[in-house]
Amino acid sequence: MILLLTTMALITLIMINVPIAVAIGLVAVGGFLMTSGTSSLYDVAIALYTGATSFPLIAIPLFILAGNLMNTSGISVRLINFVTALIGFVRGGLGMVNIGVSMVFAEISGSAVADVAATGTVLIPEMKKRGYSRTMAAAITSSSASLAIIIPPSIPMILYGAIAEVSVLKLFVAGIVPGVLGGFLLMVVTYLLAVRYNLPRDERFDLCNVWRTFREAFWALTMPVIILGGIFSGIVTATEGAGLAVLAALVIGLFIYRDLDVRRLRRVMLDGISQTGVVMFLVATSAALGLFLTQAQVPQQLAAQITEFTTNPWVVLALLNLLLFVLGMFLHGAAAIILVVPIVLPLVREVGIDPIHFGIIVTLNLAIGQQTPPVASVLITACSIAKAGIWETTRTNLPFIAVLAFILLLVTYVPFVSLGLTEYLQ
Amino acid sequence: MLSLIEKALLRAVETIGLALLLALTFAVIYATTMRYFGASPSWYDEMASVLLAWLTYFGATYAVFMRAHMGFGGLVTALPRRFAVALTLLSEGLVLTFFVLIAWFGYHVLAVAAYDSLLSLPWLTLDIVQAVIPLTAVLMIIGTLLTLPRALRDAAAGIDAEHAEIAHAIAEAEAEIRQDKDKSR
Repeated sequence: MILLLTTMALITLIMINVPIAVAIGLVAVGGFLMTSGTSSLYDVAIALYTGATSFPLIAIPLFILAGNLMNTSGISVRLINFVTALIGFVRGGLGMVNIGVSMVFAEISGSAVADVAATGTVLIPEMKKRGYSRTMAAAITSSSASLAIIIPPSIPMILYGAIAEVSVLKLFVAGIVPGVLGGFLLMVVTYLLAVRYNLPRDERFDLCNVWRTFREAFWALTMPVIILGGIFSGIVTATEGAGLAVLAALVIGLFIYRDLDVRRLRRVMLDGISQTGVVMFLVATSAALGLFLTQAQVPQQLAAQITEFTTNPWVVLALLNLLLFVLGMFLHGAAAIILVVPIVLPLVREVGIDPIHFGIIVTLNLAIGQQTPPVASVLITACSIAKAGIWETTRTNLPFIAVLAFILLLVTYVPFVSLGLTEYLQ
Repeated sequence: MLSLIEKALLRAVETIGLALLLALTFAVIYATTMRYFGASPSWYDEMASVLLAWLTYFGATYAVFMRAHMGFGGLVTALPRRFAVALTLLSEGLVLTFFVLIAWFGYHVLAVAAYDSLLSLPWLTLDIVQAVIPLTAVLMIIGTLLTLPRALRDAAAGIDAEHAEIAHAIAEAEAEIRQDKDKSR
């Protein structure tokens, strides 16, 4: 009953355009007022502070800053040039370049919109020039940027790790195989569509060009090596890796490529501050709501009710997938994770689902959610750049969404796909 | 006059936010380096968490001034002008109520927090670190009120904040590409 009332209040507030973070806070305040009286609001104030002090979340502002620095310091453009020289000769090559680059760059910064804007404004006009339809250019950009949500480093995974109290490193490792497999399948679909629509090869393979663009992109290519190599080898933690990423992006942008000046740096940092504030304020108000729901025993009751109906983890996963898919259509990724994970986690643990496995399922659902209107900021951004309609792009996007859905089902019902690599971690 | 106040406050919030982001980045890089020399600073965990909380709330305040918080404006902007404005007034009233409550209770809880301090830095009492809640709640009230006319104008004109953000991000990225092209000429 409490869960139903909370959900209805939340939906109503969000529908009348109360910012989601404030809507969550208001529901928490209302819940406490009704059940425990005015004095409990002191607890809300304390929860709002402590909710923003979770140590693993320190990686969030740093990755956001590193991502924004990469977007503005010429790193992404150089990478695009190199990958184009490398695989541009294949039919549909530019589409594949788009997928490859998006997978590396998207979802590092806190704003999926800013990431898609950074790579999309370079690639989409180029794709249109070379004969790709508007909707195809938008669909490829949008779906590949969304898949990147499960490729480390990923802000939603850090959020999930902090909320579910599981290792962020394990989550990062668990995302590698589904992410790479998904990227490969998106490229296959792009190739098939390129053959069907007879898209031209983008450029001839020229070894000199590959070497020239490689030299220009060399420092850009060291970024993922520094970040991921450091984290996966255990030399640095995820938070320390985020700090290193900022340092590396600063050095490359300021001293090597020299595309970064003080004015740009200030703007990039202010964008980072705003994006951190948006995500972390959500985390903080959700801590207050979480406190209320836990005191009212809501997650435990939900777990008890569902396990009375079934304890089969596959059925529970199917139900959760359905819930997350619907939520993803109406909520932004970070908001969905922050809201749903604390409520369903006791259920997930009780039926014996590995929380790392569930983390990948949650983030993949959100990737699909970013492709399904009405709330689909990644899709809408790609469509705006390509000047394509959202619904006509969605039709073109269907094979790409099918790939994401296939990866989701594969990950859900073959846990080894995500968990296999994590077994090699200590 | 009002726009002058808005500009001055925004500049102050920006400056504090930038200082906090720099301090947090520096703390993480410094602690990482020192760990390799076997001398991890004892204050790191606690201090970095406090900096994160302060960055969260000054960032959230900045986002209030910029009207950048996540929301779902699709329904309200689709409504006839009069309803859209009325619902915007209602939602802004609710937002203000929330911040007023947080400012009030956040301030009164400080008296209790004053008896406690950080473990690694005993001179830093919790009332100082937790003061960020009432302080930024008041700033967010002012930010909401100062930007309210803009929100009402947008609601009346049927402008959705999400679409405005997307248009802004694309314009910024395109400006950057132009700038890079000019530079390389």
